[in-house]
Parts: sequence; structure tokens; C-alpha cells
Amino acid sequence: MTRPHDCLAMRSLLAELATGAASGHERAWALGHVTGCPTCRAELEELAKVTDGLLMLAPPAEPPPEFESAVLKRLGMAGARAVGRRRFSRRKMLAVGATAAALLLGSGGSATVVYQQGESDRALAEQYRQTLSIANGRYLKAARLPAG
Amino acid sequence: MGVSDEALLAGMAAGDPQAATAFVRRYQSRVYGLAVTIVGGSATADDVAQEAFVRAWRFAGGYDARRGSVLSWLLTIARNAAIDTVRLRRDQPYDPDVLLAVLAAGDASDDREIEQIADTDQMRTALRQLPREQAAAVVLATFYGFSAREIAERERVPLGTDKTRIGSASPGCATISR
Repeated sequence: MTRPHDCLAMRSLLAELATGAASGHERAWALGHVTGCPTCRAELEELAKVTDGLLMLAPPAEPPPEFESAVLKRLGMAGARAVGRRRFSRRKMLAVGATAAALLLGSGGSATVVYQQGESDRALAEQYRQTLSIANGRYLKAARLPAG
Repeated sequence: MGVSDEALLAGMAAGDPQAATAFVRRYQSRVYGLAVTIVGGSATADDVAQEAFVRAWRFAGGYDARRGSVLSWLLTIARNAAIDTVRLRRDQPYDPDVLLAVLAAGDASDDREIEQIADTDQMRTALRQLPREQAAAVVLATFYGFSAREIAERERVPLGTDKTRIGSASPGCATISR
């Protein structure tokens, strides 16, 4: 499937691919190539690690004092002032718990419980479900928020 | 023991303000620091860093732990947000030598794992040891998203030479950083 001259063309593209500089067309071609070429794929992964490592070299700097609240406002969580004291509402805890149970058991029954709740809880549960399914349950710990 | 990076990210994605606050606090200096490194210390860096967190929240479902740490993932997002901004202001002078000096001198050590600090130190050493031209090409590509063609035009060297240079420089780093 992969041809030697493809690997040659790939060599000049790998660094651009790893740093995100490759154009859309080149990117599509290169990603197609690495799918079928373990050698180029390994090299790309290595280069991506180098890029990650270089970004780590940027010295940390403290943002302006209002930075945190500005970010939370943009996330629609501006009311999060009482950090540390704020608790998940009981309904949300139930929704999250039921979602986790549904995911673990693969049963539709528990999921129905979630569905009967309000719109916001459903959206929350959906987000959790996505996150959980993407990581194959790796994030189950994430549901262990302050109880009660 | 603190909450894991992955758990905070998942919590933020789920709309938990407590997790989001903890996530922002944990990473804001790294994200803002990278933004300043790329776009300079200004209100723009503030915007870029904010945008990075918004994108992280939006794309949290795309995070794949097998590909690297949450910090790496987040810094890549921040880098892309910075590049998007920089691209809009084409007149900005890019000085790879200034950037190289910042990276080589910087002390990125903080309260992260010892292993990561060791990696960072090795990477910094590798960058210092590269010939100036190669190091410039690497940082222009990594921090500003320059393509080989753009680097060639900027540094006024023939394209063929430069393609080779980026290709050869990065694996050099990779080898040393192991």
C-alpha cells in the first residue's frame, strides 16, 4: 500500500504536520499515509513529542488578577465564587450517579431515570456520558464530587 | 492528594464550576506564559489565554490520555489560539533569536512531577546545542506555526535547504530528549 517515494515525500512534511503548520491538503494526504505506514507514524509521534516538549519550555507567567473570573464568565460559570463551599445539587449528583450506573451496567433502565429529569441535568449527563465513553470509563473518578 | 488533571478536565467539561476553577488555577500561569511568549505581554496575551481555556472546555471530549498529558494538550491548544491571533497581525516582527533566548534561559520548573522537569531540562539543553539556524527553524515552526516555505522566505534561504533543516533539526531534539 505505501510506496517508498511516499515516505520520501512524507519526510519533508512530518515536521510541519507535528507542529500543525501543514496545509489542509498536505495534512489530509500525510495523515492518510501514516495510517498505513508504521515507520512514518512512529516518526510523527516522536516529532509530536518534541513539539510538546518545546512548548513546555515557555516560562510560566502570572495572568492579571481578574483572569480566572473572566474565563469562568466565558464558560458560563461566572457564579462560581463560592469555590470550596459550593456543592453539587442533589439532582445533579443523582443525574451523574445514574449516568455512571447506566454506563457501567449498560442498562437502559437507569438511563431513563436521568432522562426524566430537567433539561440542564440531561445536558450535564450527556456531557459526562461523552467524556466517559471517550476514555473507556477512565474518567469515572470524575463523578466522585463532594457528596451531600 | 489533589484531584487528577483528567478528572478536573472532565468535571469542567461537565459544567462543574468547582472543577473549572481548579483547572484554570492549576494551569493559568503555564497557558498565560505560553501566550506571552508567542504574542508578547499585552491584553492580547490575556485574550489568547482566555480563548485557550474556552477551547479546552469545548474540546475536552477530544482529549486522549494515550497521546500525552493534559498539560501538553492544553499548551497545544494555547499555541494554536496564539497562532490564530498572530496570523491576523501579519505585520508583527517575529524574532526567533529573542524567543530562543527566552526558552533557553527560562525556568519552567514548578510543582509538576520531577520526571517532567527532567524532560524539560533535557529539551532545553538540546535546543541550546542545535546550530542557531536549526534552532530558529524549530521555534518558528513550533511556536509560530510557520511552514518550511515561510521559514525559507523569512530567513532568506532556499526552500530545499530549509525543508531539510526542519526535518533534520527536530529528530535531533527527539534523540537528545529521550
